[in-house]
Amino acid sequence: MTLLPKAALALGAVLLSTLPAAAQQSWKPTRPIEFVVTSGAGGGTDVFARAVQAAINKHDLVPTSVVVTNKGGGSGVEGFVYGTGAKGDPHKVIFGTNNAWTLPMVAKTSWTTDNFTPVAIMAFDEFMLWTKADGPYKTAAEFVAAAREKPGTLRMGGSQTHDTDQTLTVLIEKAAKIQLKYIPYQGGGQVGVQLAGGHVEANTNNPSESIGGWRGGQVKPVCVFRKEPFPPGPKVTETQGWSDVPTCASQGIPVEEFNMPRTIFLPPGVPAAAQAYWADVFRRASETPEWKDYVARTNQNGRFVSGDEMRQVIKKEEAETRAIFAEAGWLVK
Amino acid sequence: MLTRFHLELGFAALVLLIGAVGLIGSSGLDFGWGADGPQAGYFPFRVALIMIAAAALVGVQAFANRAALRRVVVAKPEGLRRVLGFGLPIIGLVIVAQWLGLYVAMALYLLAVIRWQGRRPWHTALGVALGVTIVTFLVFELWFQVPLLKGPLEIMLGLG
Amino acid sequence: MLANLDALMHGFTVALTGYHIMLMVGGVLLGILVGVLPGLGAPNGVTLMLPLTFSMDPVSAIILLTSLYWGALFGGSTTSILFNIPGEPSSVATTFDGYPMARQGRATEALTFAFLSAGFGALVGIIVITLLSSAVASFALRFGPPEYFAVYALAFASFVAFGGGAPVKTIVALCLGFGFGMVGTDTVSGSMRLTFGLDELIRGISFLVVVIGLFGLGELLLTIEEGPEFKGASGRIDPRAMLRAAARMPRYWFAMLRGSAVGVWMGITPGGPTAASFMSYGIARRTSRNRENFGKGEPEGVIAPETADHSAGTAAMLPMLSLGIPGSATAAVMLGGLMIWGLNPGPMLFIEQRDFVWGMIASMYLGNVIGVVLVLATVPLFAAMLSVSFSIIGPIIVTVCMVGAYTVAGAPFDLWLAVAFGAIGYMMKKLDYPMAPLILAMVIGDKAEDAFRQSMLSSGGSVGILWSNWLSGTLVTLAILFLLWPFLALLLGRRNAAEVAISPDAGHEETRA
Repeated sequence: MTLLPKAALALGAVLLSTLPAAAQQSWKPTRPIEFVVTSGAGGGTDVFARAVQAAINKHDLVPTSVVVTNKGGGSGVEGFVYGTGAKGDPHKVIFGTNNAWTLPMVAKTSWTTDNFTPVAIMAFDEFMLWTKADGPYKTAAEFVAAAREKPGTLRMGGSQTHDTDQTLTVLIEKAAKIQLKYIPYQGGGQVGVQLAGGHVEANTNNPSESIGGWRGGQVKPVCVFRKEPFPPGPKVTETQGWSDVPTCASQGIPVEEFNMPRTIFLPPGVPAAAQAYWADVFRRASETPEWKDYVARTNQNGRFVSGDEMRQVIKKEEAETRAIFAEAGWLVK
Repeated sequence: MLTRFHLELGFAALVLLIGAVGLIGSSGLDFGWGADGPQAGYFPFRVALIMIAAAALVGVQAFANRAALRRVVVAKPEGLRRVLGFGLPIIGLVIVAQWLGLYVAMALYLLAVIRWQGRRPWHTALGVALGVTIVTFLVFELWFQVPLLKGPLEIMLGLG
Repeated sequence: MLANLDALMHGFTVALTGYHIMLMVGGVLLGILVGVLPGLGAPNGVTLMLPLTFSMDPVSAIILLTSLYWGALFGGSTTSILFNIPGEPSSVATTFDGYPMARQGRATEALTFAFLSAGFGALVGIIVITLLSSAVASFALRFGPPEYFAVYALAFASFVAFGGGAPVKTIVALCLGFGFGMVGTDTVSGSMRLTFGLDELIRGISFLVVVIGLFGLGELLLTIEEGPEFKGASGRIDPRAMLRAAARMPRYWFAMLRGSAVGVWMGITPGGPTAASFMSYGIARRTSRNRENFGKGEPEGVIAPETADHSAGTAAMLPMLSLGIPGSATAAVMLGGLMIWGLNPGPMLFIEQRDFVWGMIASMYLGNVIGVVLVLATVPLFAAMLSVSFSIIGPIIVTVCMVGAYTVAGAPFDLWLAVAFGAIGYMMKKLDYPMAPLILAMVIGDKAEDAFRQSMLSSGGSVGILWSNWLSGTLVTLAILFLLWPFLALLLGRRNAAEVAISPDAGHEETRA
């Protein structure tokens, strides 16, 4: 009796290992492909999708043409609604972030994450705490001390409401036992300039969103939400590089790790063969020099995740986020 | 014959309706002035109220001036007929576009309108219809890569 | 300033190569094409060219993209004037007097005025960038939420307060504009507003779709009602009409300077080109000697919005490069391009990438001159379109409107919206409801609301923050004065101004039929 499952398991393993190759045989695009971006033109997700498009075009990874369309209405809900409408069509590929599972929590949507077919996570964008370069807070510890002294007065700028920036702000408040005043703007670029102009006291921009301001002496990163500091690399300003920024945990903000996956989905109900095809295309795209260059320049973590591992990541992130959102009272019924 | 009086009342009623819908929509939100300033429904609620009041005022004014307004003809029957003759095919274009795609719909629309409304010969109508559609396709789909609404025909041809 | 001129000379040595001039010509031509078509705009053109630029060096790439942008700005006015359909959002105000001019058979004249004043505005914008680059960048940093709100409020007040028409109907139009603008996700609270659970409303109601309906389709319905042919639009191409119009341009020097000043102000502050053109039109209508003639085909009514539109468009490049604030959708795409080329917008760009920055600024001078010449060359072509019978060109304009409405968001639902707004536009025109306030309210209403509520978040709900510094305090006070202007004018005994602004139902005895 113990033999059968073992044999089945072995058979399964063989099947699994040959599946991607076989799947490629069984499905490939026959019509123009649409990359649906769940942000506006110029947003982080837009740059992400266009970097992928550039890598795919350069190396001829797909046989038909690829167009990128922006459907960023309602913080990206529009793109997922469009994806739901393209049920079963593997020629529509949806580019997003963790918004794929946070949006259904904070807004009444006609879809859930489970409807969509996960394909890959191509990178994880890091978060840092930034303050004004010539402002009173030279370190994250000083910022925390000031926030503790005057609860609820220091302004934290962020991009959008009930999104990653505000989630991180809530985590910071809980971890450091402080109270901040969150002010939502539109887009990381604007948030960076608001900090440079002194209209907020801090923000949690991604490295790529504020690198220009850092080099220009307007803003500075005071800590990074990673377990370890960045690995040594070239200097960004005259005296400092990314690796010189301490972790936030070491500065009295025990948020060990916080990052934002850059995700790719297919519409609901597409064949498994198409899912495997796309996972393979994006894996190969992630190995191109163009993609590596994009990841390095934007200082993201280029870890490629697909298949079951991606489902695990989503499941874990979704549970964690839901707990935070529930406590903050952001969930919609 | 459509008189100004009737059109004034009709449009005021439309605005009133839009205002009422807005009022219902915004009353589902928090519409007060919270600790951090105005809440999500604060402005929508007030805009809807002002809209209703203004529409009512327009209606009252029209009623007060009804004797004069009844004498003003907004559109003569033949003009109105032309408007409907021009407007209804546009609605047809939109309906057809929803299931046959924009390209097929616009070709059919141009063909029909130019042939029967414009009373142009068949070859002119056909030429304009095909010409405009093909140029649109080339410019949008191929050149600028902006996909337009497609239907079964394009998918069958492997273009969509 | 002298150092800047030096840098500019260096920039010209970078920009003035045969290859770059070729890129400028190509970019401008492509830009004119996307600008003319209502469905396509500068953002589409720039997005299309972006992959092509990956293999170029950044100076060539930015020259191509900015030239395309200038071309689109020029081209956008063409359809505004000829068909009352704005090719670009910032050309809406050009329709107010441009289209009446075209209907009087003065299309060539109107187009010439539009393009020459646009070129003038652009030039003023570039000169300001050249001379004041560093000062402007640090000025732009002063803008937080209260200042944003103040800028919007001033633009709004200077347009609306000086409007004619019945006050009640203006209020209805404003409320409709504000109301349609509020549909969709609320930035500050993150909740969905006025969407009634409909997926189609989540992205909000695009003001472009509304404009296509109100202006494009609505105008077609009015035209067809009056008769089967375009009235008075002369298809005869007369190069001398262009020359005569050009010779009359200097007469409007003051209007051009005023428009450019408004444009530069709105370009440097977060106002943007669309609001700039409205504001400029509003101020011109208020202060011009020919104000009686506004809305009936007054050349100044074309010059004012066009100069402001272009000087704002060019001046806005500065905050984009030095701070990374995208002033428009096009700028946002270009910013994405900068990142892909390996450049980071920020103050260091001006120090580390002198070739890039000054090469680009130098190319702006050249690109706009090329733009004016090329777009003037297209005038006879477009004027000839007017001689085509309405029974053919009318349906073609309908399809162009429909394609335009669809491309805004790629949504079939928007076709219905455009048709509905076409009917609303027809009725509003018949009943003398002003449409410009509706459009302006849609354009800046929700931005102003966001800025206001962000300010309130900062201050804990106290309105006093709007007067917390001289900048926003002055602007807000000025806006309030403008709004109260009709009443102030009455108090000061300026009867004429007051009568225009608050006479009840001036349009009632007027009839179109």
